[in-house]
Amino acid sequence: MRYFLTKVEVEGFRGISKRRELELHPKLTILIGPNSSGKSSFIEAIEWGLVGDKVPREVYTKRRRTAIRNKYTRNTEVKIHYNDGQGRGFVIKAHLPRHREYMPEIDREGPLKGLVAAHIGFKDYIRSVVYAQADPRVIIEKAEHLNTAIDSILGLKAYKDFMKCIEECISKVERKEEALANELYKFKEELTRKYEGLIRKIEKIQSILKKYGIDPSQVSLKKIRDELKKLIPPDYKGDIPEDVEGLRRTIEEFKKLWEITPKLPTYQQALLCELEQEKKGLVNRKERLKSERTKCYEWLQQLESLIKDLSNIEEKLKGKNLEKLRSQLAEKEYQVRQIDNEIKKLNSMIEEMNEEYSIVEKAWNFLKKSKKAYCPVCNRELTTGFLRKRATLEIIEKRLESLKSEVEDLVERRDKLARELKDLNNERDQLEKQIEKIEQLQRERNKFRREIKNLLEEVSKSPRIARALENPSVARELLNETIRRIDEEICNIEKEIKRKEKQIEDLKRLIEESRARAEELSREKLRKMDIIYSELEYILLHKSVSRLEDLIEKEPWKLLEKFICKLEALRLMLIKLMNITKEVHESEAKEKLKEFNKILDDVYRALYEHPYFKHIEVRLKEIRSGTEPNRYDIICISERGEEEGIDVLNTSAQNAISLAVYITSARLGLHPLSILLLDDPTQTFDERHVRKLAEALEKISEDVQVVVATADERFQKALIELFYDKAYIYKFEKDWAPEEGPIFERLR
Amino acid sequence: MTDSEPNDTRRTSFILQDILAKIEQAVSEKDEQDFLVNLVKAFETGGKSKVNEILEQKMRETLSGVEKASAEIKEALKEVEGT
Repeated sequence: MRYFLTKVEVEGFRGISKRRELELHPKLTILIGPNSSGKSSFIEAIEWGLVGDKVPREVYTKRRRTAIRNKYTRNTEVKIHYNDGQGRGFVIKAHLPRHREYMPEIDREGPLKGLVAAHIGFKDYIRSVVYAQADPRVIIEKAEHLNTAIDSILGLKAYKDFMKCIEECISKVERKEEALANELYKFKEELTRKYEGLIRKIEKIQSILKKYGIDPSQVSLKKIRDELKKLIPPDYKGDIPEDVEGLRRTIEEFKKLWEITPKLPTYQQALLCELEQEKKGLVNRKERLKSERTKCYEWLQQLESLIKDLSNIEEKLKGKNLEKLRSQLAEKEYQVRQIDNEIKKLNSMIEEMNEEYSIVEKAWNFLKKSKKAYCPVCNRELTTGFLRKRATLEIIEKRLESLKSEVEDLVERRDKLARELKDLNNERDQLEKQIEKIEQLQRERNKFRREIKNLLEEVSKSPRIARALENPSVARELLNETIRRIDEEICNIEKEIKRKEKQIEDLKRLIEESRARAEELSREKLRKMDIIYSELEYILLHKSVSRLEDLIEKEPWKLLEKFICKLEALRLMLIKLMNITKEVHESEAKEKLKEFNKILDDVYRALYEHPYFKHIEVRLKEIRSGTEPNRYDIICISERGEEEGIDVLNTSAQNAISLAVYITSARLGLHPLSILLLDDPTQTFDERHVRKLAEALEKISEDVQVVVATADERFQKALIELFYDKAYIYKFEKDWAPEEGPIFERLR
Repeated sequence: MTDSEPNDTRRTSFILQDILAKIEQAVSEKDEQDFLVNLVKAFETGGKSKVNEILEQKMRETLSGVEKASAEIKEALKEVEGT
């Protein structure tokens, strides 16, 4: 039961601006007219409306069909009416939203809604739309697409999917099988390693036991317990356990206890401590006495030094009378003051004389220069004339001389007194120095006396002296006596220390001997303990080996091996299923191909007449599982049976083959809806083949609904001639306004 | 979009019938035959996921007790670990 399209309504799609309707013939619809008259827009609208949301973007991009939307209208819509072959009509509505460029929103009604739309593009001008299980979006434009396309046309993809699924199952089982095999291998390896390790250990312990003279076959838990009982340490309070683990712990405990250095007898230890303490006390006392003695020595030394210094000062002060010296000094000071006063008096007299001398000298000078003058001395008017002047000058000269001599006398006298004053001053200074020295000595004497007193007070505070000391000589005697007594005490203490040291030495030797004996005993015990431990370990190792031997005897890996075998069986089952599928797949493919090739050859020969290669055939080269398509070869065959690949054919022959492949697939009756859209298919054909194609369409349209558009007048003529009464033929006008859309009319 | 979608089972089912017929011919053992038939039918009704489910179940049945056996071996090896 075939579905077929009845009508297509187009608006705002490519060249079609205003709404146009095109009724479609169930078999063949022909659109004829010159180039750019709007035919292709209808062909593309049908394809877009049916599978526009299934065609990948690259198909549009590749065909430069991005301009889906017509620029004169806002709405882009294609409505496709179809019939389900039982008289029921449905609509598929495709609409291009404003935000999209090419991908429509499609609302499908009726039975096609549940089917998968597929688009098969062979060449730009041969496209088909099918609604079936076929692989969508198959484009045979390159050789590598051919295998997929034929798989799809033959309907073999279901096999491939099933095979892929089984393949995945097989690999899953294989992975599990491998994991189990790995686990088994690891287990066996570990078992062997452990078993060998235990045997090596047993051999080692056997040799140790033999070295100790123990027969390993005689080793038993009872023997170990009996031996342990003999080795119980004094501090151990528990019982000897019977189990292996308990015995092991007990041996560890015993070893720890025996490893501790045996304790020394308490009295020896206490005595040693006491002696040490006594010795320490004596040494301290000796040190204390020594420091006391040193202090006494220091005091004695200080005392002697002070006494010596004091006596030196006393010696120096002997015969010195400070009062006498002081009265002498007072007398000298009086004399100095007297002379000093006299000198001052003389100086004033000299000064007066000099003053007078200067006045007289001025008068003399005046007289010598003036003719009439007044005596500067008596203020009388001097008589003029030479004699008077001379007499006056003589008087003045005499007075000057007298004054000069008086001044000289006074100066001489003053100088004499000055010298005396200097001597007196010297004497006075010496006296002052003597007095000062004596006073200094007296101060020092007082200081030494104070120091001696302080020292005596300090010495008297000493516990050994403890009484008031009146004078240094008593203190000296007392200190000497004390030093002597301290020396005696130190001597006694040293003797006592030596005695204690000897006692300590003896006691230590005794203790060392005891310790050595105890350690020897302990070592012996530990050695025995080691032997017992080896015996116990020997028992334990034997137990482990027995456990492993039991394990080996039980052969637990056989269980795992069994599981691996089961998995292998499962895998083989799946492989069997795979092989069955492959077999069925192959026979199905061959069967289909036989039928396919028969039709293909007929169609090819109807479409195209090659002078040499009269036949074509598709051959199965290899069945493949998974996503890989089966491999096919398309062979062209000559009448004489010579075979070649189709690449030797020219373009028109290859186009004819593409068309033949599709038509054959349609004839196989695999799809509920198959539309063949041919847009100017005769581009590469000559007149003969144009005619052949037109004739072939009659037969093709029996199996598949065909919509063909052509501008080729040869083809138009042939089509009108052949299908005028059998198809819908629409004639498109050359002149039409873009804002209105194409103009066409149905011829019949 | 694959042919294993529920609405596209017409052709698949046709193909799988052939495989089922072949299984009956080629596999003699009943259990094996049942399992493979189940697997094929599972693919028909539920696609790949259903097949995986059946396989998982089969593997669980096949390997029932493997963990116990493995644990026993590990336990035995662990026992001698200390020595």
